[in-house]
Amino acid sequence: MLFNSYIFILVFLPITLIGYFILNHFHKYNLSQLFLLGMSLWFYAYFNINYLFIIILSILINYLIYYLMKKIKNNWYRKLLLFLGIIINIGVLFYYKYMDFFISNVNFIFHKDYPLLHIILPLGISFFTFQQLSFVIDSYKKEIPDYSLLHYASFVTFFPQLIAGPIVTHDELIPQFLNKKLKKINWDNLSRGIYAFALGLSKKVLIADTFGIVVNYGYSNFESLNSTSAILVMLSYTIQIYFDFSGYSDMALGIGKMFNIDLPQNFNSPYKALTINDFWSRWHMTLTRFFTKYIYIPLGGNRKGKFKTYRNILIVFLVSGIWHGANWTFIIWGLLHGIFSVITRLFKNFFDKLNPLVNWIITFTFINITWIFFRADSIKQALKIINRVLQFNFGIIPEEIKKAFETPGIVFLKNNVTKLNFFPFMALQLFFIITFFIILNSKNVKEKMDNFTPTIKNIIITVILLVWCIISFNGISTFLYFNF
Amino acid sequence: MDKNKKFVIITISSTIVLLILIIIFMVIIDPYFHYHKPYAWLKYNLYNQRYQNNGIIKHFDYNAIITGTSMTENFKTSELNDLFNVNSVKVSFSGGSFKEINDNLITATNYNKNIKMILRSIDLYKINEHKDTLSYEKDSYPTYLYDNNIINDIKYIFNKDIIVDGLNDIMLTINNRNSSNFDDYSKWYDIVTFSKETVDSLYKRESKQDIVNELSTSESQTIHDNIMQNVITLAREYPDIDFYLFYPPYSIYYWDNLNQQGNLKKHLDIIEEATKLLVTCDNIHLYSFLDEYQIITNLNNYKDVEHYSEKINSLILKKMQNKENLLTKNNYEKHLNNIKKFYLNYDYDKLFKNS
Repeated sequence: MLFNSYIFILVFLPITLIGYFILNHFHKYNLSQLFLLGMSLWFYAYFNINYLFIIILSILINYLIYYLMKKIKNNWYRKLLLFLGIIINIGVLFYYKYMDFFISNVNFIFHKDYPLLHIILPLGISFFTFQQLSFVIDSYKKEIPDYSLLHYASFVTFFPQLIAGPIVTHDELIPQFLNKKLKKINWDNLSRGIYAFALGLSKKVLIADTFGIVVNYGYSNFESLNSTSAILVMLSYTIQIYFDFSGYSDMALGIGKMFNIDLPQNFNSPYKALTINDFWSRWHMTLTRFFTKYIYIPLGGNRKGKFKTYRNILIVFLVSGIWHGANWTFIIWGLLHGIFSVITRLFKNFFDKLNPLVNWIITFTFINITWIFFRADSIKQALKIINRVLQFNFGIIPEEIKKAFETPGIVFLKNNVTKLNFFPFMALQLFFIITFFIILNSKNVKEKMDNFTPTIKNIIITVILLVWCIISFNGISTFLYFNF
Repeated sequence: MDKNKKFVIITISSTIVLLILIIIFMVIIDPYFHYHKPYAWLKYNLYNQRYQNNGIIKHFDYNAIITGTSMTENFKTSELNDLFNVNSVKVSFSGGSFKEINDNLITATNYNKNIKMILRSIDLYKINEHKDTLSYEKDSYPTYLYDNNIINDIKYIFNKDIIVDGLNDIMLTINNRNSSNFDDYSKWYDIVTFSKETVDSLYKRESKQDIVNELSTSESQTIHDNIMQNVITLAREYPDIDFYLFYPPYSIYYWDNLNQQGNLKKHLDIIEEATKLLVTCDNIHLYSFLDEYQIITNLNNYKDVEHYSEKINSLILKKMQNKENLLTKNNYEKHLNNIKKFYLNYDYDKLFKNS
């Protein structure tokens, strides 16, 4: 299930919290852990019951590898186990995520006609594969203490981080599961968690989904966009992906906090970044951390001369592109980031001398353009949209884009409060201005959660945002009058 | 008490209280009439067919229904009420398939035992659609309104768009304006232009195909299944309800288009198949306006190839009341021969000579 759903907020989360803390209250720690595991599996199976077997099987195999590595001292066998673990995890990910992409490329290159398998991607597989990979690699390096299967399975499936990260490592999570001090309900954590959850939920539901309307319109009508609307569509996706993804991470942080579990921060106001390297230290931070630890450093990192450093950077970004999705658009996106990252290192002196504002503009523009590749269905479509932007034909903004921001509430206010008559025409501008203010000026949710105080103001903010989001999950669809 | 504990308790309880208030508001105001008919003190808006027709049909007081596609949207229930001495509601479905329209009628007959009359358009180009065709993706229908499952009503109650519609009903009441009436519900005649120029500007004549398409046996079966499932079954189940069905008079360009495509003969055969089935039912009164050649050939009656003006709707009602244009077991063959002769021999090119 999704965090932004009635079932999650009104049923799943309350039951899980209450059940977990009641069992803990009676010192049934293993039972409460088992309860949490069961609820997490329900959370996962709610999307598609068939996924359940994949994740359970994957957990059992990885735990078995870990168990054998503990028992076996022979280095050769341990190497073999490591090799097996990597092959199995990557193999499963490859099969579910990349098989069809692979087949269609083979078909294209060799002019063959192998049928596609139309495999449905199990949710979160990219995330739990990486988590388990790091677990297997760390087992090989003998970095792992004794974990029970229950705790290992709870770590992989812990529902706040299960389907969209952050990519948590075993040593961050399992010790917290084992810490008896964290088993008691903590009102301080609970209030912070609720507050952060409400903020994250609003980022996703009230902001990302609104800009998503513009993005969907723009990408399905890209042939007819003028430069003004193409720029708006581009910015809208930049806003959408950030508020969607970071909102989701914020909710994960908040939910974790409710259970007295600290999850790692995943976003640190990334669009404030002045350079592309700065951006990657702020965007999807746990992914960058994973790539640094398990690819960049094993390849030699920056210790083996400039050339190898640049090679390693390009490899990391290429892998990152592939990880993000099975399409050439993601590979191009990754490579562009890799190349730009190398360029900023090559010409570090030049960039350092620039005015910070100029640096910000260069970085933000680059991010915007590369997001087009990330969102587009094909490279051709991405190039067309960039072409639309560069045509400098600044026409009027289509009604469909303006309408996205004229939410029913705004229209209601406009119709019933005469002084607000100007408002709907400004709705688009207001949305963009407020959103950019949040992006560039506001503290991020992690900071807000850490500095939280239980004031009346925060009660009002939390309640209003929660209720507003809940009534925004579902709208009415328009039935276009085609053919009457 | 601990300040944080207070925060949690007050936040959760106020959220719950607010949600309960929204539930109460939505059950009372009920803008789509899902639970009850509108209270006398409350003014309401009618404007959203696929969301409101179901509630109208379940909870309003009526004994006659006008339904069908856009061909019925400009009917005035007041005219029908006067002519047939009934109390009618209009629940048209823009572009609605036979199944959508019939499913709504099934709901109507389940909820209202006083129905005497159902007036419904039989759109020619939908006769040979598959019996389970829907006009939109299945997921886009608000099926949570169509069933009696209370759990999925959460999508109705905690729905910002519909809550705002409820607030609009309140504003209507406060400002002392009138509720929508069924004469106006779904109408569009006041926002379009009926003229030959408009129709000409919209009609792109296809090039003439030198083929004559025939109706296949499987297509005949499709027609049979569609008509049986979505028209005749209900009529047989409710012999006391009079079903007034009609073939709408599309403009001559509609027929020209078929002629250019080589589908004219086939289309006339489709109509014949449907007619044969429909005239067998005693409580189905089938009216065909396909021989109203004066209307059909005068493009000033239309806003596009199919859509006629509200005057034609009024005329259809009067002719029905006078039992003109009624097809029966005895006269339908003559009528079909008549229209076949007309449409197959019409000099379509003449329409385009001057332009």
